[in-house]
Formats: sequence, C-alpha cells, structure tokens
Amino acid sequence: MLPYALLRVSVHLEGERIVPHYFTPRDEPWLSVLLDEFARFTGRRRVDWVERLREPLPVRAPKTKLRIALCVLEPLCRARPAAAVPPKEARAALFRAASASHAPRGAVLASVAASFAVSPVELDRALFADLAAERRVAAAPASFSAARLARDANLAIVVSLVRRASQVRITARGKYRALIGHARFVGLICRASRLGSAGEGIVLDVSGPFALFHHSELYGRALASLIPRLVNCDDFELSATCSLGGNSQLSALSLRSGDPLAAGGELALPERRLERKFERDFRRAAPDWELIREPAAIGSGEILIFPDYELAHRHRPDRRWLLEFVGFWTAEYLIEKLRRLRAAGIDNIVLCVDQRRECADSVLPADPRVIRYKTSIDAGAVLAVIAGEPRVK
Amino acid sequence: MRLLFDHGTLVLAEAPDLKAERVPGLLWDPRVALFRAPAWRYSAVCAALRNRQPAFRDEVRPSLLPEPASWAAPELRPYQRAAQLSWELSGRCGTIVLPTGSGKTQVAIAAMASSGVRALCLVPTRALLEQWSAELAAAYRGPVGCLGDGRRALEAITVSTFESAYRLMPRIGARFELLVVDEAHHFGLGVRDEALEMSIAPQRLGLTATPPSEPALSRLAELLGPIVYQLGIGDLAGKWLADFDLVTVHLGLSPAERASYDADHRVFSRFNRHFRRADPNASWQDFASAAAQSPEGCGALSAWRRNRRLLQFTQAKAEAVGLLLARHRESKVIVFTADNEAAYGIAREHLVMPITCDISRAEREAALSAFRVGHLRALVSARVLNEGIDVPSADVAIIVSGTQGEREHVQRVGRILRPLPGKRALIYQLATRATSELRRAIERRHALAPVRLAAR
Repeated sequence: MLPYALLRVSVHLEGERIVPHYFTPRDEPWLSVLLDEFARFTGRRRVDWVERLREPLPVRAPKTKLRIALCVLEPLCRARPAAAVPPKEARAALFRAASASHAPRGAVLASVAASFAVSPVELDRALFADLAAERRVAAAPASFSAARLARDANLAIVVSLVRRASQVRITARGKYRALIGHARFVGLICRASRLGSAGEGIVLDVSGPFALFHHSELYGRALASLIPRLVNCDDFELSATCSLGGNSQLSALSLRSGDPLAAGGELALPERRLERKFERDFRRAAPDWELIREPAAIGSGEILIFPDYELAHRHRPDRRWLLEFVGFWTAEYLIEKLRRLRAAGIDNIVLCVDQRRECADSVLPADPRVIRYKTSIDAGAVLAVIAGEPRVK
Repeated sequence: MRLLFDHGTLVLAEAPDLKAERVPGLLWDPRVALFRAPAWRYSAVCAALRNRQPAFRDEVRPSLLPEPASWAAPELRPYQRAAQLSWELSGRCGTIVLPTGSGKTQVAIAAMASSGVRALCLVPTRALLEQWSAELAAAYRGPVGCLGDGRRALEAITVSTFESAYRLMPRIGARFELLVVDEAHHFGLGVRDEALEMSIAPQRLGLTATPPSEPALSRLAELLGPIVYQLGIGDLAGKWLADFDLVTVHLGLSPAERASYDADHRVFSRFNRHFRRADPNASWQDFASAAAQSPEGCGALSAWRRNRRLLQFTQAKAEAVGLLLARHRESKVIVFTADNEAAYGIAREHLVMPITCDISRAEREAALSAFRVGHLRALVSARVLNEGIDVPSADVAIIVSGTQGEREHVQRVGRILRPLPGKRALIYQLATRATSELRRAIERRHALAPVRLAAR
C-alpha cells in the first residue's frame, strides 16, 4: 500500500472523480534503468540500496512515479541472510559475555562462538541477521520487465485507493467464479446479485474499510487482495467512493477492463484449518448427516447465496440445511442478510459468525440461525439447530 | 435547544434562531442542517449558551462510566507541588514542563486526585502505557482502564495510547472530564491533534520535558492550555536530579574525510549563498523546496546530506567511543547515535547491546532488565531511548551525534540524571572541529541551562 501522502500526489480530482496518474509506456525507459540499477544491488544490503537512492538515477525520472515504483520493489528488499545461530540468542549470549569479561573482542567472540559450535565469523554474521538493516536485496523475477513494473505500480495506486473506500460496486462478466471464491475466502462484507436475466454476470456490493469501525486495516487488506483477481475476469467495472482528504469528502473511483493494471495469478485457495476441524467434528457428531462442500450457488430473485456447505440427512432427503461462514461482519449487515434470506424464503441456513471479526462495535443479532465462534465452530451447536426443527424446502 | 455529542463534535439541535457567530467554534453544518462545534470547545460553548433563551439542555455527557474511586495522593517534592498548584490556579488547564526523571507522572496523579473527576491519560508508546498503568494502580483505589496494546477496558481512570485515543475518541470523547497528555510535544503540528479536539474534557493537563516551538506551541496552548510551570535540567540538577558534568570532546577528521567534507561543503555553500542573497529570511523548508527545483539545488542537497552523514560517525568518533567505553568499564554507559547504522557499527565493534526500532519489544525489555541488574554494562541506541521508555539508571552518556537538535539533547541527557546518593553523571558530547557540528554542540549546551538563564 502506498503511504497516503504519496497516494494523494499520484491522483488528481476532476470534480468528484478521481483520476489516477497511471504509468504509461513512456515511463518504461526510466523504469528499465531503475530495474538495471536494482539488479546491480542484488544480494547487497537494503540500507545500501536506500543510500544509493538518495542520489538521482542516470536518467530523468518523475519523482512521484519513482517513489511509487520503489514501493512496488520494496517487497524484494526483504530477503533475510542465512544465520548459523539464531540471531536473538547470539546477541543475548555475546553482549552479556562481553559485559562480564575484560577480555578483548576477539577472545569473547571466540569463546561464545565455541559455545554455539560455530566459527567466530559465523557468529559475527549472525548477530544482526534478523534485523531490517541487514535485509538483502533479492533478485527480481526474470519476468519482471519495465512493462510489468508499470502495471504493478498502477495496481498499487488503485489498491491504495480502494483501501480508502467506503463502498465498492463490482460488475463482472465471464470467469468471475474465482473472484467470488476469493471474496468469500477473505470474508468480505458483500452482497452478490445476478447481472441480467440470463445470469451472464454478477454484481458485488462490498463495504469498504472506511465504512467500518474496527479491523479496517485488516479488512482493507482483504478487500485490496480482490483487485488483482478482478483483472482476470473477461469484463469488469468497478466503482468506489473513496475518502481522499481530511474533510471526509468522498470522491468516485472507476475502473474497467482494459485499464493498465497487473493481473493476479490464479489463486489456489488453501483449505482452512477451521473448515478441516469443523468437517471432522461434524462427521463425528452427526453420522446421520452428509456434509457436502461448496454446493451450487442458490439464487432467489436477484440475490445469490454461496453457502460453504450443504448438510443433508442420509435417511430423510427432505431435511437439508445450508451453512455459511461469515467473515467480517457488522450487526447491520447480518440483520440485513437474515432479512433478505427470509424474504427469499430461505430459512434453512445457519450462519457461523467469527466473533473476532466484528467491525462496528455492535452486538450480534439474537437469532437461532446465527452461531458465534472464536477459533473453532461447535459442531454440536450446528447439529442442535438443524436437528431441532426439521425443515423442508 | 439541545447540545449533543456526535462523533467527536458537538451538535446543537432544535436551535432555529441562534446567532451562531456569538458562540465560539459553532458553525452551520448543511449536511445535517444543524449547528456543529468541535468538542474541545465544550466549556466555551456551554458558557455562551448558558444565559440564552430558550434555555439549552446539555445532553453531552452520558453517565456510562462510574464515579472515580478514592486516591492515595502521592507525596510531592516542593517543585512538583508548585507545578500542581500553578495548574490549579490556571483553571486546571495548562501544560507543565519538567525535565525527564523529575516525576511528571506523580504531578499528574496528584492533579487527578485533587480533581476527583473521570480522567483519560494519553501516552505515546505501549511501554509508557504499562508504566502509567502500574503507577496509577499504585495510587488509585479503583480499577484502571486501558486502551491500547490489544486491551480495551474503559474505567473512570483510563490510560490510552495516542493511537487508540485517536481511533476511539469519536465514541469516548464525552466520557472524561480531565485529559492528561504525557509527552505533549507530540501534538500541535496536526498529527493526531484530532484526539484532543474530539474530547470535551474541560480540564486538561499537558506534560513534557521539551515544549515545541511555534506554531505548534500556540496550537498546544489552544488544545491543552498554556505553559503554566516550567523548569529545566539546570534548575533541578544537584538536588532532585543527579548533578552532572558535560564534556564536549573536540575531534578532527581524517585527511580523506576532510577532503570529502570540504568539497561537499563548497558545493552546498555556493548554492546556499546564492539562495540566501535572494531570500535572507527563508526557512530550511523553503530552501529545500527551492533546491529540489534545479539540478544545482539537488546537488547541493545531496552534498549536505553526505556531509551530515559523514559527521554522524567519523573515524575519530568511532575511536573515541572505544576509548570512552574502555575508560568507563565499571560504569553503566548509554551511547546515543544519530542512526541505527552507527548504532550497529558500535554494537558490533565494541560488543555493546543495541536498542533500536528493529529489535523486538520483548528483546528490548529483556536487555533493559539486564542493564538494570548489571548483566549488561552498556547500551547503544539511535532514537528509541530518547523518550517513551523507562530507561534504567546510568552514570555515563556518550552522545556521538544527533539529528533532532536541542529537544533530543535534553531528552537524552535526562535519561542519565535519575538521582542516586553520591551520583555525579558524566555526559560526553562528541563534536567535530571546524564543522557546523561544533556550533550545534554549543547550542545544545545552552538547552541544559536553568530555564530563566536559557530564556535570556
């Protein structure tokens, strides 16, 4: 994410519309020089690279864009050198030994190194190996061209803007399933609805971090991770209201297919420990119920629901329940979700709500279909809800 | 008319015919079609509305927090008592300036005890959050609330980090009548000032060892009250703080360093002279902005940066640190450098534990404990030990270099002046001859003088 001061000079406002200063092919020559210079520092300390940047590049580079490009390169400057001894232990032992002894430096170093069964040189190298100052510049991937750096920089601008959004609306057509999967995985507060009568696309209305009281940093990161996935859709539009000043004034950001943004790679969503544990516990607690993972989306009117599980009774096919994990939440969001489900005639759903991801200082609505959890979902509580009242749909 | 607290501001509802210009801070908010004022003007707004018709109803203060419990007021030293009295005579709104180690927290506790109202104490770091919580728990007979470091417990007496206060003040700004701000010099420049603006607390106490300069000082006076009591290190050294000797060690540059320094100094001076001729009263910020506009200016700035970096840790300084550490083998020594790079250099060369922002909090605390009990005899730090950490007593300070001027110097010196029977602290200030560093060393020395002398 770009620092706010940098973000503010990376865009300008036309009325209430935000216009990002995108990198263009005209920036590629100086970006190439920057990448060459960066490559020259591969393996060297990050502080040396930072020191080098105090002096200008051999070609003229726009200051703001240069700073953005450096922000994009920053993650490559965090490689930690290998250490023969855990650095923290090395420091604790060496500095205490030096304080207790009047022996010269070399002798203290040799004696402490011997206690770790390493050479004095290895101990000396390990001393600050874990600290930011010792981090090394890693080699950029071979595919990291100036054009790619430009697209990544544009993405950084957009992502930083979206992290200051209070509301985001995404319209996507074609290859949008990965987008929805990602939104669910990171637990965004969002509402999905069909686009068009034939369902050729989807509309996601997502709360922005600036509409929330808590976890806005975490939530912002989760929302930002959606943007590179968006670029993979065949066609998309994004409109967001973002706060770009101290006076709480909101400005509009809009993106669409064809904007010069880098696409995120296909993301294999990892299986969550929470899900693994729930499946194991539930199968043990409810042998009469079958657990079907990621059933098909359920639509009612325009609204789409993407349950995480379907719970089907093995002997009574009329008893079926849906279960959904809710990520970030506000009471308002949950009440609205329950209301819409009821209006759509979907009563056989259990919402498992992570108490720690509450975003509005509000109280969880009292509803038998809402189960709260902290680290793991109580399979018994789920069973109590679904076994208590047979529901036929 | 009803006066309400709304997200860190005051809202005046049902006031159709009000002449807003006669109420301080009150403005018309067209978004909600109501009058609105910043919360910190609460007392003034109430005073202005008090004699008006129709009478206003004050619905600002929710009674969500219990009344404070009783206090075991601390025993104060004479100057602490004088500071507390000055604050009370100033309408319980003002800033007290006392040097590091002189017991500002005790003054604040006495002020809270005498006020007997709900109080929120703001501190800049998590280390100070712990420290204040412990000191309040020792003096206050009720539970002490805590906001920050993962905790969120509101009580009649609560300690909060600046960061948590900034985030939570829109909701808790109407719950406290007294606001105590430690290290108050962090406010006044706009960064997080909203934390103070969003509180209605009519009683306010700022604490600092180093008041900021204008314009931050005026802003601080608005938000916390003016300076009501001020003493410097020179006023308390010898009795309430350890007496000390300040030794400025004059060092030279190696021939290579001198050649590099002089060459860069020429580049900088040429541009600077030219610029000053056109605008003799320009500030450093003006100079830097102007310099960034031309290749010559950029070159001058680069030269200035190189020279500053060179002076921060010269060969002679590296050797002097070695000699001084060897000379004071039996003392507890803190070495202050300008940057982490120099701190690690000294740490590696002389096997001295560094305390920097890169070292984790747990490891820093372990090192400070080891220093306290004598398992470590020396520490080296760039800026982390300047303020916000309870540094154990030390006898010797070696100030290799600094970047933040007199304020930083006062904070650093204050670190080793914790009084002990028979203690006389020794402060070495390393300065390079025939450079701008020598002038700054003299200025810093003046900053330690008694307040009345320093003001002359």
